[in-house]
Amino acid sequence: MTFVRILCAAGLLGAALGAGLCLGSEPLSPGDLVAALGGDDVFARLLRDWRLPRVLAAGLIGALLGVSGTMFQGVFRNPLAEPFLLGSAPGAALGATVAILLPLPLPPLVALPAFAFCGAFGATLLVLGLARALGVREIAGLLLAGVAVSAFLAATRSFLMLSLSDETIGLQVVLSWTMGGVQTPFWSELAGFAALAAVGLALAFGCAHGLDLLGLGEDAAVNMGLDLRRFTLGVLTLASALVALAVTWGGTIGFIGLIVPYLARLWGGARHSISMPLAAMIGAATMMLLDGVARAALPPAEIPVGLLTALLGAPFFLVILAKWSRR
Amino acid sequence: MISRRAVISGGIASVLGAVAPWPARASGWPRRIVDALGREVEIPRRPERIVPVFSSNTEIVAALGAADRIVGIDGLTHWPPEIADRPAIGNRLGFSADRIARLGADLVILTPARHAASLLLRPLATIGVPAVVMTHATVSEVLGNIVRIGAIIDAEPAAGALVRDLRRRLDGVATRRSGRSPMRTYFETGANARGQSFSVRPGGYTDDMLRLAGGVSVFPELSGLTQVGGEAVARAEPEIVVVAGGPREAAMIRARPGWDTIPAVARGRVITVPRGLFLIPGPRIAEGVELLARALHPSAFPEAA
Amino acid sequence: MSEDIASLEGIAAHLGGRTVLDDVRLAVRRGELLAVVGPNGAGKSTLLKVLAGVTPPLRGSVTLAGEGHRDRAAWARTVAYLPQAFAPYWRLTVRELVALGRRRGGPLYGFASPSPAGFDPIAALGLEPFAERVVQDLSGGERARAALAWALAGGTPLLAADEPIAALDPAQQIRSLELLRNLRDRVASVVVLHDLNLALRYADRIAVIAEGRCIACAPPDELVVGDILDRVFGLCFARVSWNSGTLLAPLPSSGTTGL
Repeated sequence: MTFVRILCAAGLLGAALGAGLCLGSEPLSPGDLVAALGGDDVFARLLRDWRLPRVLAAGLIGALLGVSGTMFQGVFRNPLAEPFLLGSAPGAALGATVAILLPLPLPPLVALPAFAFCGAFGATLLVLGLARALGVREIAGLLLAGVAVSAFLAATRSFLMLSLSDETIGLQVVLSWTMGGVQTPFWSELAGFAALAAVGLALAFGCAHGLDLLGLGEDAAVNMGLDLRRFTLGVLTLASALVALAVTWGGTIGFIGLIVPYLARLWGGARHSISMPLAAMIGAATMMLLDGVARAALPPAEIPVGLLTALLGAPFFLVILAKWSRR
Repeated sequence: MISRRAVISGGIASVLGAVAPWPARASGWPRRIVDALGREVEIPRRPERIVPVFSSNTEIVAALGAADRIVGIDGLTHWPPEIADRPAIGNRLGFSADRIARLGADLVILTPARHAASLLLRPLATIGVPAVVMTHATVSEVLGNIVRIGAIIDAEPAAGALVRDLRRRLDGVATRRSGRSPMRTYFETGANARGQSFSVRPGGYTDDMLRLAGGVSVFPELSGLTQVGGEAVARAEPEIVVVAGGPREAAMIRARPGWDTIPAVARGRVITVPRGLFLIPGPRIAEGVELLARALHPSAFPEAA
Repeated sequence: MSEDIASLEGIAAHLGGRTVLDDVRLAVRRGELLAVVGPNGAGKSTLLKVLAGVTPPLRGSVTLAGEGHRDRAAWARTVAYLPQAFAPYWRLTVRELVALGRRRGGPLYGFASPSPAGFDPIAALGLEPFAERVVQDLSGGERARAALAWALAGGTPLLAADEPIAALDPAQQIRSLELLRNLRDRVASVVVLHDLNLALRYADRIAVIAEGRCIACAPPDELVVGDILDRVFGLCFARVSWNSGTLLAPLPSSGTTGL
């Protein structure tokens, strides 16, 4: 049963990869795609060396967001927890902004993820700390603290953008980050991104049992052998790292971390050992497809995929909220 | 990426100074060129499928007699009319490397505006389509661009002839208006419905054109944002107001609250010039300078009346 | 091997700055069903949490299976804790919940392997018809049985269950307590109960908790003779002999009704 689900998800992944390759401001039929890939003209090179890495990067971003969303939801035991809403994605965006705009003695490929991680983790801790200091225990309060922190972070980022603004490429990149758009990596960059993502996802899957235990309630989890503080801190650190990696290559893409874990649970059940790999695959498929739509919707321009996910995600959030509050 | 400020413009003397500072060897293929961003670009063979991004580059390529080799244009380009129906590879929202590849382009000429460079250079480099970046800080640089584009699209004779002709016309205007003091001008390049209006950027090619035509901007110190308010315009006491646009733009000036107190506006000294002649750094700039010179100094052009 | 599976010595515990347990001494023997009774707020739940390693005591020590300090995993494999009104947050099926219950004290990271279980808790609690249903969709009684099945699945030698039968109908209450009684050679139980008659009938010993202290811990026939229960609950119980046991029936407080 599980095996069948994983197999179906893998099929979905393959279909999304194909669709992502077909979509673009110059859409192709699957038959054309196969023919075009074999060629040696400029368009074949575009498909192989530009569109393919882009689609794969979108897939990795989706997998990272789906799994980090599952982890946040698992830790907070709530389907409304989401990296974008809990401040970690806006924090990562602020970190990335700092890395882009400030002259740093570090190569961008190091500085960007490192600063994004610091921002994501710092924002998450800030939200949790605020919620605790204010005595908030319910998810609603946590999300509101996230809203406040996100607004603060966005204002800080706007100020940085204004004060450091220059007619240079930096500001353009920051803007595209803000709206959420998949950056196309070179193959070498994609290899590094994929290696980091693979390590992060493997570690995340390792948290499945602990997240299962947390889902039984804190007391039961502690009784079953969970070190609550260490595990929670570990999961939040790891989830922040995944968000930071996703933000580095995709900017702030909201709601994928909300929709994808929900779908994964709906389809694969509540066990994290299954729902997390499924979330990775569904997230990857979703992002490959949505990024393709973003590239194809308004040719010859490309719309930020973050706008698409927000358009789809905001109503979805309300649906989950309605279901959850009726519980 | 270098900023525009890196390319400093001098006075009128430099406007018509020597052209072609870039090495552009026009003999055989492949040809190598260092573009405005300092990138060395190799063009392997004579370009037959050219995509000029932005109106200025398109107009230059067309003026060099290569309109039939243009396979794609920017969606906001409408001149010359014979290329207006070519496929658009970009619009206000962005540009598509996909479409450039689909058109089988073998040369892209672009300008670092509207994110075109940041959106297109990486994919074009990846798929091996040569892309040359042009900047146009001054009229001199615009003339240089004609020479450079002539070199890379194998149209050197046409480029030489065109630049000589443009220079001759600009020199002609200078000769006609010599001895007359420059007209203090408020040159409005654009405005929007929220009451914001923008003056010509000092040191830019449009400012060069204004000076070549015998005018001088009343805002010589603006930098960065070129937005100006009605009070500032009134205080600057321009002798004439020049609006890039048509009758609608001129009417908007008069309709702005308080602007009727500006003497030049009150006296009806508001003229319009076509945007295409002044805001596109291409081969039509000489026409623009001639037009504006006649408007600013009608007595120097008695035959035009 | 010690006779006690767990013993608490001089336990004190605070909850939100309030003393809820003070110098509690209690030993749980192997193979017994120990009922914990007492009025609301007496500290029964906190006592179970201390025993289960969920709440560290402010003072005092917990000794498990004769050993002093135990690590978290060993504790998890010794005592299973069933919280009051236990329900998983996510939509697990009964079978998934029980499978999760088998994996006690595994490594934090990675997939813990199930501990060997000698019996099938799903069958023992009559949950076969609901095994593939989601726990949250079950009735209150079915859910309580699923929770008990989860707690028993780990194969621990001790179960600490906080009001595990509160949501069950009388027949199911009896069935559950009989199950725990039958299993007590394999797993000793400490069960918080509110129904004194069920405690008297099924427990081997009854611990009476009042105002944060364990004021008595004795077999039912000893406890029923004295007036400890009457004093602790502030009530007068009528003793009714029935079959081989004694039933307690609370009477209206004497002297105030004017009878």
